[in-house]
Amino acid sequence: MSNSVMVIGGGIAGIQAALDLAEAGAKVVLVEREATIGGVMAVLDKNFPTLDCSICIEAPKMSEVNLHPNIEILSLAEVERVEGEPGDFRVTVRQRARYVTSACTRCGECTLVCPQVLPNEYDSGMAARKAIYTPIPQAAPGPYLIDMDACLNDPPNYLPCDRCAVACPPKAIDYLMPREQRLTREVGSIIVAVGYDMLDPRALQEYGYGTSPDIMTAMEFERLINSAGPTGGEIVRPSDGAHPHKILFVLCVGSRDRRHYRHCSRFCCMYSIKHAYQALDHGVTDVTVLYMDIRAYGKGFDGFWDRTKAAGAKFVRGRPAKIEAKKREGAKAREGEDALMTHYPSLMTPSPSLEVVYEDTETGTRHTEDFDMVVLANAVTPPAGLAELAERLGLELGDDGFLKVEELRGGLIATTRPGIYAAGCDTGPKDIPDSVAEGSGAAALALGHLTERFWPEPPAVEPILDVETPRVGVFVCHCGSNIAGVVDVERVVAYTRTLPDVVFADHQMFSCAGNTQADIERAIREHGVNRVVIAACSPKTHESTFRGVLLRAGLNPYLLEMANIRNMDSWVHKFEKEAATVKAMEMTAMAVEKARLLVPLEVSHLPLTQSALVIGGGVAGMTAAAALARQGYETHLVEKAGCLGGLMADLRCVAPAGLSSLDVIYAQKHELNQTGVHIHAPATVETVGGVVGNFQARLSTGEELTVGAIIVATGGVPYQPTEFGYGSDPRIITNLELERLLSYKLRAASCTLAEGSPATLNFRLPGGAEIERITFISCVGSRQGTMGCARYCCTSMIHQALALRRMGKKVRVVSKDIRTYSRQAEELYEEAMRAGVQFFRYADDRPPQEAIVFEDGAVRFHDQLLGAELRVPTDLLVLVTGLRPPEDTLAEQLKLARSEDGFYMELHPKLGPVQTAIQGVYLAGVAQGAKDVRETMAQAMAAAGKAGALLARGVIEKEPLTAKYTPDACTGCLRCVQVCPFSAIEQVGERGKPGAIRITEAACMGCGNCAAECPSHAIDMPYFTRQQVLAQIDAALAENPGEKVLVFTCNWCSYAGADLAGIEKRQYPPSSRIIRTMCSARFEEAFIARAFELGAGAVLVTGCRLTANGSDCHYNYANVHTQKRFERWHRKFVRQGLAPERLQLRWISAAEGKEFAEKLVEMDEIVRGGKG
Amino acid sequence: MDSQEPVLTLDDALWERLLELTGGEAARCYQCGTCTATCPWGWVRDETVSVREFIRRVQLGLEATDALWLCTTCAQCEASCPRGVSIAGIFRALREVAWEQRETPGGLPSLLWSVFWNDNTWSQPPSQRAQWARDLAVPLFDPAQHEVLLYVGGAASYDNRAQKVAVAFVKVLRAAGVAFGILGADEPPSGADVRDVGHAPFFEELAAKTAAVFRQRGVTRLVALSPHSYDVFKNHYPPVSEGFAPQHYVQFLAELLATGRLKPQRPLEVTLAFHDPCYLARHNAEIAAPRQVLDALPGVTRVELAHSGLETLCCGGGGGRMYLETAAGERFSDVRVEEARAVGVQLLATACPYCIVCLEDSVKARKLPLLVKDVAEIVALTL
Repeated sequence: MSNSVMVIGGGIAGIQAALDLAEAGAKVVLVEREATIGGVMAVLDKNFPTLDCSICIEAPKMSEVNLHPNIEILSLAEVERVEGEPGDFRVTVRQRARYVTSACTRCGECTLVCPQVLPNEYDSGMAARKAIYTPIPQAAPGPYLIDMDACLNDPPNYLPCDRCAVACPPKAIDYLMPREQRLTREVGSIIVAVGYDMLDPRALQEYGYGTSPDIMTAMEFERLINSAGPTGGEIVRPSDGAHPHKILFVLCVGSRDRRHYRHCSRFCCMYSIKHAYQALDHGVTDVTVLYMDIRAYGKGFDGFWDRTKAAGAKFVRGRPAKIEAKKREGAKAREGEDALMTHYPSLMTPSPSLEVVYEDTETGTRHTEDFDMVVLANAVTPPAGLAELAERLGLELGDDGFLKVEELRGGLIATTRPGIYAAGCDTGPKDIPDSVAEGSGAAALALGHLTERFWPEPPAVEPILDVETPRVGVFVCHCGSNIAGVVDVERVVAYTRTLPDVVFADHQMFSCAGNTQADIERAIREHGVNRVVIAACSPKTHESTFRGVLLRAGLNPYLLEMANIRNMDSWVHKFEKEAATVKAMEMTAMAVEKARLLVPLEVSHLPLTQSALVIGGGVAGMTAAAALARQGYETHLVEKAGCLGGLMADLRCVAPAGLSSLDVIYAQKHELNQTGVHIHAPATVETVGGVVGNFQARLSTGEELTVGAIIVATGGVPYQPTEFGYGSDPRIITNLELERLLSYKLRAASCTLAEGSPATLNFRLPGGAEIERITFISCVGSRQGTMGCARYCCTSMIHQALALRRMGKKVRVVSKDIRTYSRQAEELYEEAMRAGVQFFRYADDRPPQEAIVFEDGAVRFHDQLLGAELRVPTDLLVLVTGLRPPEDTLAEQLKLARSEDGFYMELHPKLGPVQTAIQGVYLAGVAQGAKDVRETMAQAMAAAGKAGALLARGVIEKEPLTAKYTPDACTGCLRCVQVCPFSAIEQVGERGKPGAIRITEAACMGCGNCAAECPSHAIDMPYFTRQQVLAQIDAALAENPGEKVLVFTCNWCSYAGADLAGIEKRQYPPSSRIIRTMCSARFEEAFIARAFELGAGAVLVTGCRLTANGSDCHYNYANVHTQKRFERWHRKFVRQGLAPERLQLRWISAAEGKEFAEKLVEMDEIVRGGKG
Repeated sequence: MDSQEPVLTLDDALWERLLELTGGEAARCYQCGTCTATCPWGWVRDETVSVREFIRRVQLGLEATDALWLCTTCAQCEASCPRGVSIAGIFRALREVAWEQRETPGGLPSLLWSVFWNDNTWSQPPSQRAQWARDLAVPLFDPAQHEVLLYVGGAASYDNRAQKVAVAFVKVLRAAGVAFGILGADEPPSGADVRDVGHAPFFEELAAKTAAVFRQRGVTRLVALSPHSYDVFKNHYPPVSEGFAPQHYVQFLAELLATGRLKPQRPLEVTLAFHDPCYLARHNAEIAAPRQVLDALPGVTRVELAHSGLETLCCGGGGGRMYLETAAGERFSDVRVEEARAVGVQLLATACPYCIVCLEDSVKARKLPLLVKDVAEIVALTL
C-alpha cells in the first residue's frame, strides 16, 4: 500500500516528475544533493532556440515544488540504501545539516557580516560567496545554509566567530544541528533524475584549459553572459578585463573522441550556436565556431542556426589541434612585475592572445589564428557518483557509463530494476524539452505502482462570512532592519490608520514568522478584519504564506493584498530614507485601496470525466494508452488501420539499439491487453469537440465517447519524394521501402548487426540485375523551406547501411551533417564507418536535388571532404526522407495550432513539450514533430502522465483567476475570441449581439488578454479587476503625480526582475510606483489614460521578453498583444500631445534586475526633465 | 554544379584493397583535420600538407597525394586523433601499394637492394659490421655468459657519427660491469627502415629471419641502440622466444642507475635539454627513462624544450626520410635546434642515431653554439 514516490534529483527532469506526481495525488519525496533544486537549468542564461530566459521559466516551477503540500524536499541529501520491491520500497536517505532553520527570512544580513569568502559554485567559481549563503536568489528550499567546512564556527572552536548568528534577526542560525541525519521513507516507486556532469577540459591538455583564464568552458561563458552572473552580463576577458573582439567556440571537446567519450553530447551544438548569437548580440565583432557536424535536430533549431549565420557568425568545419596562450615577447612585459613574479609566479600575466591551429576542412587549408577568447563545449559525462548510486539502487550501467535501460519496457525511462525509472540526462545527454518529457513520462510509469492517492485537506475553521463592508487590517513588517532600517515603519502605520476603512494597523518584526502569523490570525478575529494588507516583502515568495494565514483565520484567502516595501523600496532606496518612507506609505495606500475592492473568490471544481481518448494506434498511441490505463483510467484507443503499430509495423528494427520492431509492437500490445484499453480499430474520429474534462467524440463506427482528456498521437506520413525522378526509375527507392525489403530479406536473421550476419542475401532489381552498390542520399525533403531536421533518419539510415555492408554490399551515404545525437547512435555511426560504409558530404546550403545528380547509373556530386567532384556508380539509390504531418481535420476541430512545419504546436518549446494551448489535449510522438522511437515513447508516456494528473481527482480544480463575462454588456464584437491564446472563448450567439460569447472556465489560464481587448468592459479579471487597478493608480498618483513613474509589471518576468533588483540592492530613484497583474496583456488603455489624466510623469509598460526568436511569456505569446496595443496607445497619446518618452515599453526578464534598475534611472530623468 | 571540375570515379577494387591493407583504419576517420593541423610539415611549409585529405583519398580508394613520402611516421597526428586512427600505418600501407606499382621516389629501391644484399641500408659489406668495435674487444654474444645482447643496428655500425655512440655505450656498460656481447658481422638487420618505407612483405621476411637468428643464438634480453630497432623488435616482430625482452638502451641505463650498478662520478657543469625521439616517446610512451638517466648525472641541469615528452617535435629523419632529400628550410630539425637555442642550453641530448645526425646537420648549417650528443655519450663523460 503506497501513495508515495521518491524522486532523486531536483533538476528540471526531477522537478517536472515531482510536479506531475503531486498533481496526480502522489506524495513525493524529492531528494536533492545540493542546497537548492533547479539543477543546471537554474544556472543557464538563455535557452535555445527561443532565447527564453532560463530561470524565468524555471523559477515558477521551483517555487511550485517548494509550496506544494504533496511534495517534501530533502535537500543536501543522498540516497544510501533501497530495500523492498516495486510498490513497497524502503529508502534510507542521509541528509546533511543546513545549520539554518526555516525561520530564515532570506534577509541576507548574515552574508554581509560573514568574513569567509569562497568561490561561488553557481558562477562556475568566477564569483564569490560567503560561508553562509544562498546559492541563487530563487533557491528552494529558501533558508540560507552554512558551508561548515569553511565556517569559522566549525566546532570544536574556541574562538567562535558568531557574526552571522548575532546579525540574524529571527535567530535562525544553529551551529549545533546534528551534522547529518538518516531518514527513511516508504515509497511505491523511485525516479532517478540525477542529471549529468561535464568533462574537466584539462583532460585535453592540447586545449590549454587552465593555462589561461581566457580559455573557458561553455558553462563559464554561460555565466559570463548572464546579467545575474559575475560580470553582470558583460563579456569580458578574465585575464585583463578587456572586451574580447574575437571569440572561438570549439565543439566536441572530449565528445566523439575515443580517448575520452565516444558519445555525442547532443546539446552542445545548439548552445554553442546560442553563445555565438549572444556574443554577436553583446557586440563581439568576430565569432567563429569550429564544428564537425552541426546537430540542430529539434524544432526550429536549423532556423536558429541560419539566423546565427546571418548575424555574422562564421561556422568552420574543423577541429583544433592546439590552443595555446601565446608566450609574451621578452622576459619583461610589464614594469614592476618581475619582483612580484619571483614570489608569485601564478600572478604572471600571460599574453591575452590565444593561438589556435586547425584545418578548415572545406578549403583544406591549415590555419594558425589568434583569438581573444576560446570557449570549449566540453563533453557531457555521467554525473559524479552515478556508479555508486546505481549500486545502492541495484541498477546497471551501460558501456557509456550512463544508466542502462530496458528499451522494450519504456524507451530510455525504464531502468534495469522494476519500479525504478529514469528521467533526463542520467540515461545519456538530453536537452531541456526531452528531459522534461522524460520527467513526465517517468511520473506516469511511477504512478502505476501506487495503490492510493493523497489529497491534502484545507484547515477546518469557522469561516468569516460577513465581508460585504470592507474592514481593512494593515500589518507593516520590519523584516528585522531590512525595512525598518530605512523606512520609518511607525510613520507608515500611523498614516495607514488615516486611510478609509482601515480598522486596524500595526507593525511587526517579522510578519512571516510562525508566532507573528498567529498574531495576524488573532487580529483578524479580534478586530473583525475582513481585508488584509501586508506591507512587507514580495508576493512572489510570500503571498501563499499569507493566504495560508487568512485561511487559518477563516477568511477567504483572496482578500489579501501585499505591498512589497522591501524589494521595491527599502532595499533599492537605502540612502533616501525620507523618500523611501513616503513611498512605503503610498505603496501601502495603493494596497489598501485595492484591498477595499477585493471580493471573496472561490476555487472552482469543474466536472471531469475520468477517461481518456488516444487518437492514433502507432507506438506513441499504444504507449500512451497503456500508460494511462495502467494508472487506472478508462482509455480508448482509436486507430484508422485494421492493426496497431503505425509506421513502426513497416520497420525491421529500431535504430540504434537494434530492437525488433515486432517485439516493440508485441510488448505494447501485451500492455494494452493487460491494462484493458478499449481498442477501436479500424476506426477514425469523425467529430470531436467540447472542453477539458468533457470532450465528446464520435467515431466512424458510430460510437460516441465522452472523455476528460485527449492524447493526439496521429503520427506522420513518410515524405513522398519527387526528387531524382523517384517513381519513374525502379532503381530509386525510399529508406522506408528499403526497410520493407530488408525486413523481408532478414526475416529469419536476427535484428542485431553482429559481424558475420548472413552474407548470402542478395536482392535484385526488377530487371534481374543483382544489386551490389547502394547509395543513400540524406535529407530528401528535409532541412529546406519550413521543414526542419526529421531527427530519426540519420541513425536509421546508418543502421540500414551497416546491415547492407555486413552483407558484403558497397554502401555509400551522401549526406549533410550526420546527426547521430541520441544515445548509442554516434557509436553506431563509428561502427558503420569502420565496417566500410563510405560517407560523403554535399553542400549543406543546397537541397540534395540541386547538389546531386543521378544519371547513367551513377551519382555525381561535389564531395566537400575531398574537395572534388565525384562519380559514384550506383545500382540502387535510396532516398532518405523525413516525415510530414498527416492531413486531417483534428487541428481545426480541437483548435490546435500548428508549427511552421505543419506538425502540431506544443505549449512551450522548453517546458511544455507534450501539452498544447488547449487544456486537456496532449501530444504524443510524431504528431508534435518528427522524432525517433525512443523519443516517441518518452513523449507518449509524458502525455499519459500529464493526462493522468488532470484526470486524477475527478474534478478540475481551478484557481479563481479566470476571466469573468457580463453578457449584457457585450456588444458581440468577438475580438476576445480572436485574441484568446488558449481558445477558451467561443462564439455561441450572434455577432453584434449581447451574450455572443462563452468563456470556458476550465480552459481559461487567466492572462486577462480578453479583458484588455474588450471595448465594452464585458470581461473583467478577478483579483486584477479594472476598478482595483484604477484604484491603485489613483492612490499612486494622489500626491505629486508629475514626479512619478507608474510601472506596469507582469507577475512572471518583469515583477520578478524588479524583485531581483531589490535582492541585488541595485539603487534607483524612488519615483516609481509598481502595479502587478498576471500578464502584460492585461494592461488596458484605460489604465494609461487614467494615469496621464491624473498627470503622471511617465508610464512604463513591462512584461516578459519578446524577441524575434521567441517569447518568455507564460501565456502562449500573449505579450505579442501587449506590444501591438502599446504601439497603438503610443501613437494615440503622442498624437494627443504626449511627449513620446513619457510612455515606454520595456521587456524585462526575471534575471534582469540590473536592467530594471537602469531603466528606472532613465525614467526618473524623464520625469525630472519634464518637471524642469 | 561546376561542370569545369574534373570528375573522379570511385574505383572499388583499389578501395577494397586499401580497406584490407589498412585494417579499416582510414575508414573510421571522420575528417576533422586535427592531423593536418598538428603535422610538423605545417611548421615548415606555407602550403598546407593536408593529412586529412590524404586519409580521405584512402577512404575512397583514390590515388595517394604527394604527401605519401613526406610522412616521417612521427605519430604526432595519431596522438591527437579523436578517432584513434593509426595514421602512420595508413601511410605505410599506401607506400606498400606504391612499391607494387613501382612508383617510389628515387633512391628507395637501391636502399632496399642494399638491405637485400648487405643486410644494411648503408651499402656496406656485412663483414665490416663490427669494424667500429675493432679496438674494443667486444665479445660475441654467448647466452651462457652474457646477460644482454647489444643490438648495434646499421647506423651505429656504419655511420661515423653514430659509431661514437656505440663506443661510448660500450664504455658505460663496462663501467657498470655488465656482461654483454654483440653478434658482430652476423648481426641481422632489424628491418625498421624497410617497414617505414612501406615494403611490408620484405619487412616480414626480414623480421622472420632476424627473429630466427635471435632464437637460434638464445637471445632473450636485448638492448638496442636505436629506438627504431627497439620499436620493431618490441611491437612488430613475430614471436622470438619465451621471455624475449627488447629494451632501448636508455631504459637499460635507467635500470643500471636505479640499481646502483652504474655510478657516475665526474660532474659535468652543463645545462642541457633532451630531444625525445618519436619512436621512444610517442610510439612507446617512454619519456621517463632518458630523464631519469640525465637527472642522475652530477652537474647536469636539465630544461625542457617547448615541445617535449609526448609532444616532442620530430627531427625529420623517420619514416624513410633519412634517405630522401628534404629541401633547405623544410627541415624539422632546424625548428628543433632553434627551440634548443630559445631555452638557452649548450647541449642538446637525444637517444637515436637518426636524431643525432639530423640535429647535428641543422646545428652546423645554422652555425649554432650547440653540441648534440647522445645520452650514452653524456653518461660516458661522467665516468
